[in-house]
Amino acid sequence: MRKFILIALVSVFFASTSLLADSDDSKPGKKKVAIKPVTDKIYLEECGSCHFAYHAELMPESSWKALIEGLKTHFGEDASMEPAPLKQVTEYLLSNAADYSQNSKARAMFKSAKGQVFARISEVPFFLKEHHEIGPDVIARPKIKTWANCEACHPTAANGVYGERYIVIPK
Amino acid sequence: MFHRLIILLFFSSFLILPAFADAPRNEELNHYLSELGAKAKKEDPSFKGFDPSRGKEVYFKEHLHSQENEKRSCVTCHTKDPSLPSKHASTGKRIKPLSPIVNRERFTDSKKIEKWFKRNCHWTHERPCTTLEKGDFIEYIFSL
Repeated sequence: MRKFILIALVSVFFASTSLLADSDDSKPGKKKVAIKPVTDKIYLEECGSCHFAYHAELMPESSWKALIEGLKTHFGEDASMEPAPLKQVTEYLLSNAADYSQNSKARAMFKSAKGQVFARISEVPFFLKEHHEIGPDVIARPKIKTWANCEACHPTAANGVYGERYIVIPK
Repeated sequence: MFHRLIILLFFSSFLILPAFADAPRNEELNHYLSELGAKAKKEDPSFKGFDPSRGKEVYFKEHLHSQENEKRSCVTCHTKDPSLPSKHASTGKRIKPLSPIVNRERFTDSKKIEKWFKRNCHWTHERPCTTLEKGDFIEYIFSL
């Protein structure tokens, strides 16, 4: 009898946790995986000093590769690095690229790229689709300025949270 | 309650204190500057030492960029007052103050100093900065 109660309790526990995990996802039965916040100190320092430290998951590996190869002329700046930090940054970006992510948005970014190489995250088709309501007049606002400034409208971006309900568009 | 207030005041005083003290130079910076000085002397035997007033000119000197057709200087990203936080000219990313009086991390790591001179002199002036410019610049920032 005791054994039965234990089994019953354990199965109720597992059933409830999987329900909770699924409750926020559009596809039931599929577990929601978050975008991993960036913790790589070298990446945060080398890249994040000048711009938002984009999650590697937001662009395919082939695009990151091209970007790393072109750091000498990086959007009008010479962002070339010493060999040691370059190795670390390369490793972070390539091994965490969209290709290997389980996050639904990152998967969509990867799929929409269709093997094409992009210079900017903001040029990837899924990004464009998600932002189609945002016109150039909104981006031009002083508090936003550029598509590069994710945190302007996604205050939780650094945590990898880009969900609709966390968006605040500055006036 | 009163006890707690005293403790709070005691600790908060640490937050205010650095603003009134001179920015210290660590050993690494002293070493970096003495090597820079030796190099400057080699390049020009009449060199007498780095000078903050020349450094001020370096800080405010404008350069018309050959491709972008815009004037750039240190001020473009670091503002006229290096003790204030500022914003990256193209990305809008927040830049911590350059002045070591308010930001003690500045000018403590020679590798970082060289890295940023390399990047930023190229962006601003389309050429590497000279030995003299680097030393003068640091003396200006520390004179504020």
